[in-house]
Amino acid sequence: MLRKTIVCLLPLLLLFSCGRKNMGREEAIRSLKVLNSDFINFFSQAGEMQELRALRFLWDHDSVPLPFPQEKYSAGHPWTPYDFTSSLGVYRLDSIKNRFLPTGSDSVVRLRFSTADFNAGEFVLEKYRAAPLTSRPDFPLELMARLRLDDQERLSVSHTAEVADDLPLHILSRVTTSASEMNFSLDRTRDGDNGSLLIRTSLAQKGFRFIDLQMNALIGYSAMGYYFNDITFTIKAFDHLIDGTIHYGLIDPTARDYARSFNTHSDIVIMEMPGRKVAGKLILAPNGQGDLLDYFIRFSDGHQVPVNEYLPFLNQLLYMKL
Amino acid sequence: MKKLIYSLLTLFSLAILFSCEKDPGMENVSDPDKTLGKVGNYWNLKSTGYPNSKITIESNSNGVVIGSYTFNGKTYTLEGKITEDGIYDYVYSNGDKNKPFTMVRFDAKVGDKWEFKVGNQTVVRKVVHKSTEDDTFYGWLMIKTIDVEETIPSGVQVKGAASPFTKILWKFNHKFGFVMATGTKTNGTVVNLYSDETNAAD
Repeated sequence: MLRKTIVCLLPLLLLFSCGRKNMGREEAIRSLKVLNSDFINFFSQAGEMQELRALRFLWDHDSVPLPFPQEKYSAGHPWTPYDFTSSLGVYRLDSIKNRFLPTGSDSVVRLRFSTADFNAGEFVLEKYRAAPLTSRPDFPLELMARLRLDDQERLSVSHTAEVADDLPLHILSRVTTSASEMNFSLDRTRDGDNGSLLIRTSLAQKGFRFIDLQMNALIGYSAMGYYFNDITFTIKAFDHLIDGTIHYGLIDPTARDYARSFNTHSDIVIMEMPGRKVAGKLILAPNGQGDLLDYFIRFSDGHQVPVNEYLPFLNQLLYMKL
Repeated sequence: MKKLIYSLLTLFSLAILFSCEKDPGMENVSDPDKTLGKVGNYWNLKSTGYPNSKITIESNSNGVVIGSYTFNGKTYTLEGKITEDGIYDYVYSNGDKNKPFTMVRFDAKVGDKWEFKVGNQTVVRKVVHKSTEDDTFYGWLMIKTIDVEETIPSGVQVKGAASPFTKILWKFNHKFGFVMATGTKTNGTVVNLYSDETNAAD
């Protein structure tokens, strides 16, 4: 009798213990506000990092003898690949001409510059190798670089990759500073016209990993590249977890009721850790302005608010269409 | 500017080569050699101030065509579907054959439109003009056209990069296929891409 009772109760016990626990609306709003604050603080701290400001300075400078300026299209000039060997040498920023000018030879590409943030900056590209792609700029296969600011080693970049079928096959990238570390990896497979994609990225500060993203996708291949069939992802961000499944191949982009098609074939929930209580579910719905659609968060009581209301940072990400 | 031309080339090739909405005309491929998608068909492409280019149909499997063109030192491969009734593209679905988007149907009427959702945004293609007499130059010929205006919301991606265009006005002819595309950038700049020679009507 006891055995029979246990057998009957076990499925119910499992059902209840595995089911998602939902927050009430007020608790969910508080939770979303916390998540938004965490991201805003993170972005504002990142924006103040001297290392990132120095990289941004170089990125915006068209005269740097680095790979990325070559990849910017410029009218009247055919695209040319970056030549690491011919770029080797020491360059100094001429503040009057506002250009990096060669000042000597070296076995690396060494850029010396100063900005309002620091007196002496040095960016060194130690290794660079890229694979030519037929329809895109060359893809970097190996890159090693480091940044010194005011005689202190402040940042290093390492990157390795493989390319197949004119697309990245494996990528492993790491950016480290004295206090933080960012890792990114991509692994793609192909079996005929089908394959998979695994992307992982994480951000850690002083050993604490505060953002962790993993995306698994089943993909299909075409002459133009690849497209998504199924996507599952988890984003652990601070004290929250965003868990998502999107059966992308089943979503009909020409459906008369596209929002219904999207919501039927996707399940994206925002939870707070620990406990994994659900703050809300991400859905697509009309925004009340004609046929226009927007992303909303639906609470457990069915009430829904635009994502922008409590998670403006997420709204911006969604609009980036990555 | 080159990127714009490239984008227009890409979109155009989509026009020539690709896909569609699920309408009955999409299945109407009794003989691929009798469509604009016949293997070997080509279109010379010109844009003021830029080197000429040429797109050629390299394969056709029941209307699904693959073509390529060279621009700015790179070769681009594109896919689409061409039937007796129209031209369809897969550009916004990155080549997913289950998600075609109608570019033009030759029996379309002014006001007909087709929509494709990208995230929460909608790309719209609408027939805005259909000639009743020969009113457009094609080389030294005058021909009729069907004009389709494509409206692209800001940020929508084409081949991994945000489309630089907010509008594209496509001109097609049922015998010659692609005739002209006029792309309007977000800042109002206009880029023209046109074909003045093809063997599609031979």
